[in-house]
Amino acid sequence: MHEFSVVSALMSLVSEDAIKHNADKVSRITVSIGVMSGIEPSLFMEAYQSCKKGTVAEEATLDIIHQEVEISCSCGYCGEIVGVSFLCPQCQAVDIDVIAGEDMILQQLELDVPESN
Amino acid sequence: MNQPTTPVENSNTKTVEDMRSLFKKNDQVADQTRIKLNERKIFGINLMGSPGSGKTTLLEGLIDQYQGQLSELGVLEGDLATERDADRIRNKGVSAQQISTGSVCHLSAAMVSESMEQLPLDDIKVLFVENVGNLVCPSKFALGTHKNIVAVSIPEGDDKPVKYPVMIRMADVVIFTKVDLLPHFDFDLERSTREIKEINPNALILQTDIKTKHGFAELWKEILGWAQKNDAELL
Repeated sequence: MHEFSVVSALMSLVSEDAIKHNADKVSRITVSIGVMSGIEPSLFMEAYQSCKKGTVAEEATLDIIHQEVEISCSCGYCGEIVGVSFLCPQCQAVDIDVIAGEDMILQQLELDVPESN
Repeated sequence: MNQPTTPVENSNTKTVEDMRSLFKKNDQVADQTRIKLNERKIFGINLMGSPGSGKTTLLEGLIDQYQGQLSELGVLEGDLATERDADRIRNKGVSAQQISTGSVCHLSAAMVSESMEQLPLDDIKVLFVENVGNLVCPSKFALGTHKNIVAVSIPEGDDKPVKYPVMIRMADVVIFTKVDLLPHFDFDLERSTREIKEINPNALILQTDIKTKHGFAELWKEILGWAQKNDAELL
């Protein structure tokens, strides 16, 4: 249940953004969770629900985007892999660049910024 | 239309793109630790695997086979509770510091950064960090070490690598431990090896057996080779 560690990292990034933009409230948070990020979305959501209390994001909605693994290959292929085989599905090369699906990213925030700011 | 008696402050919704990784803060601490280790010419290894996969026994075997002074080795032991693993390492004559995580199921870069200062770092050349026994949680938390070793024991079953691909992806070396037990288990070594290679084509795959000491000299050769290469790159 390492999702709590990751949610606390999320809350600290969100709070930094809220301060930076003089927001008094966060209304929506969008994160992408890579299928190979090691994060279980349902546990992440559960951890988020308990961690957001008393924070600037207390009333925020959390949107989760599921990110498949995507690679690019020198043969020109750019796209998903087959299952968990980390090779190019077009030319079978193993020397590939993984461009998505192994990370977890805070993509977007909707902030409520008072007009006086 | 009635005017409200107290003015309601209007607010605007502002959309902000962030795009930072949630692993970034831990990674930044890990990067600092790696710089500290490099300055001291210490090569760090993060040893991961299930509870009971033989991680501490692997370290004991490596200590027994080490050709240099034991003061050149250091171990950080991550567990939820007890000093037992650190005691096992100290009984072998090697400096060890226990990191008790309480209820946390993985080590973090900050825990390692703080605890390693308790070790005699001036003498140490190779630092092993034995992570909390777990094939899931430790995988994405970089510690600042240079290489990741993942232990998979024969009694766990040959399907463990393919069931826990995120951990296998992080491995520089996957070690099949307790290979002396192969005759007693339906463990398809060939299939498991093939599945590891699919998930992580760059991983080195080795085997160890603590009873006959098979594989330990080969593992030391790899570790010292990496350490030498790392030192050379820093010059």
